[in-house]
Order: sequence, then structure tokens, then C-alpha cells
Amino acid sequence: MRFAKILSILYRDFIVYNLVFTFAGFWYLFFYGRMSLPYLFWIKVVGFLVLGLWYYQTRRHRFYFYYNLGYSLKALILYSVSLDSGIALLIYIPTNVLAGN
Amino acid sequence: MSLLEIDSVNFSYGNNKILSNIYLKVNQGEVVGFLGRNGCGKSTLLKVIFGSISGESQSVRFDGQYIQTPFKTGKVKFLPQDGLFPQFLTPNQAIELYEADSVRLLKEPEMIEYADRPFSEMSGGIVKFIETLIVLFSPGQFVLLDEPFSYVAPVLVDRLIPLIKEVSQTKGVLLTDHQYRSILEVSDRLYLLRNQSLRPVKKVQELQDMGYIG
Repeated sequence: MRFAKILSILYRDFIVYNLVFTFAGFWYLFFYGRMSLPYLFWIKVVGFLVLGLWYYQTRRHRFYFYYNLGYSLKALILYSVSLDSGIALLIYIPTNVLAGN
Repeated sequence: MSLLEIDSVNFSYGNNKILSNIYLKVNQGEVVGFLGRNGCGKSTLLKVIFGSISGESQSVRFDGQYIQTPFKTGKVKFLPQDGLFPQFLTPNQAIELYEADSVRLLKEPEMIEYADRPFSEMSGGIVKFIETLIVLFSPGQFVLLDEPFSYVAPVLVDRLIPLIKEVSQTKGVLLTDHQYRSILEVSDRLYLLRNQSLRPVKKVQELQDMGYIG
């Protein structure tokens, strides 16, 4: 339960990025089908790198909240990528099926 | 009684050497303060001890045992200068996440008053005061405080000093601040960080001799 709360706090930091990119991806996947998957993958990778750099430059002090809880920077990156990818897959898999791909 | 030891700390920003061969020990049950001019490496030293940054070399040991990333052990908590908790959290939520001693904390009037208000709705001084309290009363054997008195009203600083003393009955506390009179009052041992090294200070006069106060 505590871990879930910590994850939800972490997710709040990139919710806008996650939702914008995921729903843009949904749109592409729905209309352009499976051929858009490689583009979606690279958009996600580049988007996440940009987000990570922005966060590191502007909100680095926020890491101390998580460090005090025992989470390292590597763990935070892993959780963020997992959350972002998990949510994207939850949207993309049904979209792919719905689109008849 | 546990012992936190820091040894051979060397740190540079580019070609600018900040810390050179620093040695320091903090016993559980004492408050160790250190002072230093702006930019001399006080925060850097605390961050190296906490394990959030690494220098060219450093050795942090708990009871003689080398620890590579101290914060991962949960034995040490850190109050940074720039705000600790996300602004949308309330003190009650922060206490719960940090598993801090809520019974003790809720004896403090400010904690009761602001318990369910987000940090974003508090003044900077109150935020600092509450953050310091939560870090002090969180589990762990050592507490590192980076400028706990900055932005805090004198009346709250006067309240914070006995609280730090209270916590130091069971923990080791290492702290730094520019309010040197408060540091003098709270510390059992005092150091001055100067020319990349920590020098022990026994008398206030020494601070003047070493050019820290006028």
C-alpha cells in the first residue's frame, strides 16, 4: 500500500507527458495500424529521455524525498519507465485489437 | 551506540577542489555542527555522507562497516536545503510515508494546526520547520540537516533546538547552517569547513581568528 502511494506520487510528476504521448499513440495506432508501432516506440524513448533531462535539470532536489525512503535514482527510473510502458501497453493492446490489426 | 564515520572525502566541481581528505565521526547520542562560508562545500559534504553524490573518493562507515550508498540502508535521513516533500502532500501524508513518530510529532502545535494542509499552502518557514520535525522523528540512527534554521522564525528556531537535543538522545545528528549562534547552542562538537578541510572549533574566538565571523 505504501509502495503504491509512492508510485502514485512519482507518476504525478510525469502524468501530463504520459497521457499526451499515450493518447497521441492511441490515435496513430487506431488510424495507421501496426506499421506505426516502431514510430510510437521511438517517440516514447525520445520523449522519456527529454522528460528525464528536464526533470534532472529543474527538479533534482525532489529526488531527496525518494532517497530518504531508500529508493535510488536507478530504481526511480525503472519504476517510471515501467509505469509509463505499462499504461501505454494497456491502451495500445486493446486499440490494436479494436483496429483489427 | 552506533558510529557514523566519514573518511578520505575528496570532491571537486571541475577543476575547483571543494573537499580535501575530510574525516569526521558522529556518535549516536550527540549533535555535531559545522559552519562554513557560502560555497565552501557544506551541502556537498552532507550529500556525500548521505550517498546521493560521489566524489573522487569517500568512505562512509556505520560501526566500522563500509557502506557504498548510505541512504539505501535507511539508517540515515537527510533534510536538504531546498524543500523535501512534494507540495501537494500534507504533513500527515508525509508522516505516514516516512513512518515517522506521529504520536510525538502531533504534540507540536504547528503539526496539529497544519497536519491536513498541503505544503503548498504554508509559508516557507513553516514548511522548513515541519519538514525538519518529520525528518528528525523518522526511523534511522543518524540525521543530516542542511540549514534547518534558514527561513525559520526565531521563535520556532528556539523550539527546534531542544527538539534536536531530544532526538540526539537516541540518534546522531550532523547539521550545518549560517545561523551560527543556533549551531553553537545546539552542538556538542563544532567544526569549521575552511580551505577544503574541517577544523575543530572549541571557542567562539577561533571562529573570529579563522575569519568566519567579524
